[in-house]
Amino acid sequence: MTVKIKKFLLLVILVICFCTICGFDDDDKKVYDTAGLLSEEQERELELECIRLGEKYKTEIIILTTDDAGYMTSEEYAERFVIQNDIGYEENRMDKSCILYLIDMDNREVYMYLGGITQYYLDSKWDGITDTSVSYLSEGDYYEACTRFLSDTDRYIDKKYDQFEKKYRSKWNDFYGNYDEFEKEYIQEPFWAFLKNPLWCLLIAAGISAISVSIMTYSSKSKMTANGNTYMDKNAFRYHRKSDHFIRTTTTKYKISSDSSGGGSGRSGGGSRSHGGGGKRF
Amino acid sequence: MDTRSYVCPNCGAPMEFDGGLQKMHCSHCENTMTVDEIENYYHELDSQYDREGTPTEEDDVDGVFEETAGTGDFKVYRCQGCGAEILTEEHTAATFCSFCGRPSMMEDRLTGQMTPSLLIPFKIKKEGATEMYAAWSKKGLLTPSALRSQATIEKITGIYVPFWLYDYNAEIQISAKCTRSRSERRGDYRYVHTDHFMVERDIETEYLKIPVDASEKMPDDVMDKLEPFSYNELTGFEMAFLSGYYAEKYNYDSNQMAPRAENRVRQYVYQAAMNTINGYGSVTVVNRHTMLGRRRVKYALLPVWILNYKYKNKDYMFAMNGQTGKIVADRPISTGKMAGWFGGILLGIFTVLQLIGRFLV
Repeated sequence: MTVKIKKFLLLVILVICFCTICGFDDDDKKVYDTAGLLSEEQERELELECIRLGEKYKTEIIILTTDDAGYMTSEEYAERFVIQNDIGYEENRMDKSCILYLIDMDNREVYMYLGGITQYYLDSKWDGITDTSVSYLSEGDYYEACTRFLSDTDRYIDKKYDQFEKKYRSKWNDFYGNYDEFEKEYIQEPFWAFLKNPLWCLLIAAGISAISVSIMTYSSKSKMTANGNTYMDKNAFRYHRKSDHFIRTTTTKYKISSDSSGGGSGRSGGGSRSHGGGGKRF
Repeated sequence: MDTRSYVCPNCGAPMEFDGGLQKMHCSHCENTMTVDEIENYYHELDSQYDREGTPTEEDDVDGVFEETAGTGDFKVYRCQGCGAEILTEEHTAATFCSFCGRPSMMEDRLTGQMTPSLLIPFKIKKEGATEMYAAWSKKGLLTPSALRSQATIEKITGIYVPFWLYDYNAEIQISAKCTRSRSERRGDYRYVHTDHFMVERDIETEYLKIPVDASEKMPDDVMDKLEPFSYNELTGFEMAFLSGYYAEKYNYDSNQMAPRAENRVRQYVYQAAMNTINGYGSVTVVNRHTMLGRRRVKYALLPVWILNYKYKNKDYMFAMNGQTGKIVADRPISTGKMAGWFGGILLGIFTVLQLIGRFLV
């Protein structure tokens, strides 16, 4: 009987160990539904899709929901999560490639966090994606918002993925700074880049020549050169009355409005990491 | 009736007023006389031969001619030298005989009530005028090349244009609301302090010899732009000055032209008053009262060189101040040159920008 009990206990311990290993293995978890907006089935679907896209584009995609952001804004909350959980594709650098999609029920805001090179793919797209999300979230369609987010992200990254790999991948691997600095150095075109377009050159040239010809035309006309001073008898000039009478002073007060922005791209928030993306209220 | 001409006492050839010498000059024997001298000479002759404008039988015959000659604009005169008929317009006061070329003056249009008081003699001679015209026609980036042809240059004519010179007394009272502002910043707010003032001005002054052209033929705006004439050389009228030039007597009398002069005086005195209001950020005139008094008007003949020409069926007038040489003329614009410049600059700038775009970016 003791032998049977021992075997049974061993089995139980083994099962517990097995469960521990399986259940506590959070490294691969992509969907963190702490606000309970999604069903188990939906979580699993999204999880699979996040993993698929992550592998496809060498990035890590996380979906996070919360109904208590504490004292933080959505942006701060998202950033904190990314840093604390070391979210990002396996790279030996500070700003790893990652996308975090946060549904913050406390601030009632959807926030899209873009880390590393995902800013290259989605810098101009997060605005549209979050806009679409808002239309779903205000209806309470949380799952739809997430699937739509994933499909849009897939579509947009697809367009620019190959371009980045071809043009910038090697440079990026050797680069030590963060994406902001990289962008300034390698990607951003200086102001006069529009001159490459012959249409702009034509318009500017046409404008300048039109102005020049007008000046030429105007200067061929004759002008009047005599004025009052030509004929005035200066000796005869006299004042009968000259008064400057002070009446009153009026004061107007203007408030200088301080810059309040609602989400932008490419900042270093809260003294930690530079990232892209932005949020929208719903 | 006979026209008056001035002939050289030495050789009998016609004498003309020379702008360079500022004297009467005979091109045949190079004799020169001042205007006073020749006028005195002729006054003596007149008194000797009793030559006055009283009508004779011949004049009556001329009168008949006048009627059958057609329009009342034209009065028939006879050249003193060759006796040919000189047809003139109603206001022509000096011209040339079309047959013998003798300078001829219509005395009856320059005497009595119509005697000009003042005149500025021509300073720029015909050669000078043609030179300056030639130089002018070459300048300008858009001037058509066809303009430089010599054929039209010879047609440049010197004409004494009739002007009324007005002296006005002007007084203006102005009330204006003026402001002066300054701004300061305190913390999150900007304060703009505006001082309001009530400004009054009442000034009086005189404007002397404002010229207004009294001829219908001469375009007013062109004549205005010929100003200023230097009145230092304004002298008393003597008919001899006109010899060798065209001249017109006035179409419009001084009352008819007065409104033009008054408009200018109003503007000038307003400007003068506004110039005394200084140091304000904004000035708004709320009340304005102008009073003008015409002090004097003088009838003067002022010298102008004129050339009328056509370019592409459009009439152009080249005018030059016969005393100061100031040119008033709108240059015709060659559309070909305009297109050429436009295209050229366009191409040039386009290429430069493209090069910058491709190679420096």
